[in-house]
Amino acid sequence: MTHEEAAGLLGAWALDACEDAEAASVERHLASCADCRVEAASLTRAAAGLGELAAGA
Amino acid sequence: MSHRAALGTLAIGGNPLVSRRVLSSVGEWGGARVGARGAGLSTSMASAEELRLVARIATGDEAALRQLYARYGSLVYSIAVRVTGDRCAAEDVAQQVFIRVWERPAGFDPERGSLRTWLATLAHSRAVDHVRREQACHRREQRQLPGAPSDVEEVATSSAVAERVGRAVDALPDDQRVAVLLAYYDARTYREVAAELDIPEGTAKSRLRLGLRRIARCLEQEGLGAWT
Ligand SMILES: [Zn+2]
Repeated sequence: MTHEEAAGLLGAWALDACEDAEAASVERHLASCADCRVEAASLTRAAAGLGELAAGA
Repeated sequence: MSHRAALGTLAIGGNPLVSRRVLSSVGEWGGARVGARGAGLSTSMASAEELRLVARIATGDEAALRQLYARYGSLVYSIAVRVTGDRCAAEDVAQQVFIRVWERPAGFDPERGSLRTWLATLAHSRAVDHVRREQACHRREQRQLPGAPSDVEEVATSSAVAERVGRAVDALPDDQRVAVLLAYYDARTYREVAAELDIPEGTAKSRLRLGLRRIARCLEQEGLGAWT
C-alpha cells in the first residue's frame, strides 16, 4: 500500500471502518511511515473523543 | 438493568472482571512486560502515573486491574452499549477489553496516546467486531439500533472532553458529521457509508478523515489532545 493510499484510509482506519485486510495494510504502512503515525495517533484520539461523547450522552 | 448493575455482573467471585480460570491462565501465558520500556519514558501522551498502573498490571497486580476498571469501566461499557445497542453484548465487550489488558498489557503504547484513549479504542474495536459478527451471522436487513439508554446519563465521564468533542462534532460540515457518526456509532465501514449516502468510496474516505481531523484539531487547540 502506497503512502497516499494509506493516508487516504487513516480516517476510516481510526474509526474501525476499514475491512480487516485493509486495516492490516494500513497498519503495515504505519510501521514504516512516521508522518502517517503522527496523523493516526491524532485521529485515534479524536475517535476516542467520540467515545467520551457516548459516555456523556 | 441499571448501568451499575450491568457492570456489577462482571464481578465474579468477588474478583472484579476476571474469573479465576482466566486469572490462573495468565501464568501459562507468561505475560508481556511493559515495565522495562514504560518506566522512565517521559511522554506527553501518557502520564507517568498511567505507565505505573499498566506496569503493575503487567506484574499480575489485581488491585491495579480493579483500579483500572473503577476508572475506565463506565467509559468502556458506554461505548460498547452505544455501538452494539445491546447491554448483554456490551458487558461481554467490556469484559473482553479488561481481560485483554490483563493478558496483554504490553499492547499499551504510551507514544500512541493516553490509557484512556487506548481503552476507548479497544472498546470501540471490540464492539464493532461484535456488530460485524452479528451481521455476518444473521444478515438481517435492518438492525435495531436503540439510542443510548437513558440510565447511561449517570455515567461519570470526562465531561470537559465530551463537551468539547460535542461542540467539534456540531461544528462539522453536515456531510462530514453524518459520515463520521455513521462509522463510529453505527459500526459502518467506509464502503457501507458510501453506499448508504450514495457517494463514491473515495469521498466517504475523505469525509471521515477530514471530519476526524477537525475534531482532533479542536481538541488539540483546547489542550485536550492528550487528556488522561
Ligand atoms: Zn504514510
